[in-house]
Amino acid sequence: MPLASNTSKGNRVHFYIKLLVYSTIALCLIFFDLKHHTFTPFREKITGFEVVVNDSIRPLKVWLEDFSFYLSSKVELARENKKLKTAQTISEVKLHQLVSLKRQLEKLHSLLQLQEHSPNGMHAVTVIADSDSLYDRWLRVQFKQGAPIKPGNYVISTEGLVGQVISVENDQGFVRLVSDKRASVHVQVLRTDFRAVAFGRGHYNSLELKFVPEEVDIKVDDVLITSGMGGRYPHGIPVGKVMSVDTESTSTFSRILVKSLSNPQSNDSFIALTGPTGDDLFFLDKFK
Amino acid sequence: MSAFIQRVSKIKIIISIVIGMMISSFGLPGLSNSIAPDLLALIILYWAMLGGDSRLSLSTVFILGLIVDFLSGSIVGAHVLKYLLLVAVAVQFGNRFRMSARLNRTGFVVATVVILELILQILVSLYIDISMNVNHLVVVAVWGITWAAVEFILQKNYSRVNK
Repeated sequence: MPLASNTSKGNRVHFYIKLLVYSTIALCLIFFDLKHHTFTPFREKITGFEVVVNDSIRPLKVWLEDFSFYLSSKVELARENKKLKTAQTISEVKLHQLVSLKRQLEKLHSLLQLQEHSPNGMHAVTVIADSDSLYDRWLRVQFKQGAPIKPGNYVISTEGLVGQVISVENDQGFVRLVSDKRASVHVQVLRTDFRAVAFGRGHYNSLELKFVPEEVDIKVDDVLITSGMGGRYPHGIPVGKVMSVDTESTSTFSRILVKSLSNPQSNDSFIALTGPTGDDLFFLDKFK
Repeated sequence: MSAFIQRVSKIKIIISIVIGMMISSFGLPGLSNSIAPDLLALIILYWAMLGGDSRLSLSTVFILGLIVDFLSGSIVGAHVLKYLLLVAVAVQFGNRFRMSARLNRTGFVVATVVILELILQILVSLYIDISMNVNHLVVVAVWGITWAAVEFILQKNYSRVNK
């Protein structure tokens, strides 16, 4: 029966009569419980039932405890795993740094050995910036204040020719790489002594031998060195390696693509040739 | 702000009563039975005051009181009488209660539960020689303050789709 308080008077009277009846029963229950302990056996039975229920759900409780322990240990394991992974990442980064440092040291050592050929005609330069353009391939290098580096000087690495100094300002210079669109180098095929001119393609580390007739003996993996023509730089500096020779696409000349041997990167160190160095800078027998 | 009679689902009432009955019968973990809240009293009062057409009948309230009495191991009939009187108060003062401010409603509930507890204690002392337990009255008053929270939880519409 709804307990609506604002219903008709009859309903309200009916509600209060019912309330009175129930309240009287409740009072009787209280009386019997307190005075005669009528419900004590019943309550004991309920207590016994509660014990039985507790006993029956104990395995479930144990299972729940085990499960929560399993979950917490899993969470702990995951946390530890994450910590170990972080430590592993850090050590890997450190290892890479060490490897990079070792490589740089080896390069510097090779450069030092190279410089021993002519301590007065060579000066160390360090890259401080490089281009990100596909067509303009250049490096901005820094050198010792007062070093006699002039525009036109060639820059070499332990692998071979890097480029040419275009301009100098205080202790910094602007080097155009051999792969620049506007760069060209007089080269010679080491195997056959055939001479030609290599032009930069603008692509990363890529050059092209132009105006080479189809009948010329030139093959993939042939090494090109500087020919020394013009007298501005010495003979025998490795320039690149032939990557492909295409004789079909053109009628008169072969299309020969060359990959530069030097691989200039930021923070690398190179040598600028500022004076006479002789033609025995590089040991060319290893390319033959 | 006034609260109005609302249309509520039977499931919501049943769930709230089952939860209230469990807390009133077995108490809360970490709390001794002497200071455990009688949450079912507040829930019955809420549905009696604001339940609208879905109010609990006197028979249901009677049975709920009996169950709590037996499960909690208290005097049989004490909770029955308490809940019946709460319903009587709700019927008598329901209209005024609904239109009053939230703070006033909380004050009214605290006063009601304390007075009912006092009546029960006097009633029990008539049958057996027992002194007045003032501490228990304070505990009842403190739990009565949670009325605002009970009202907030039960008032909130949890359904995602309007039927």
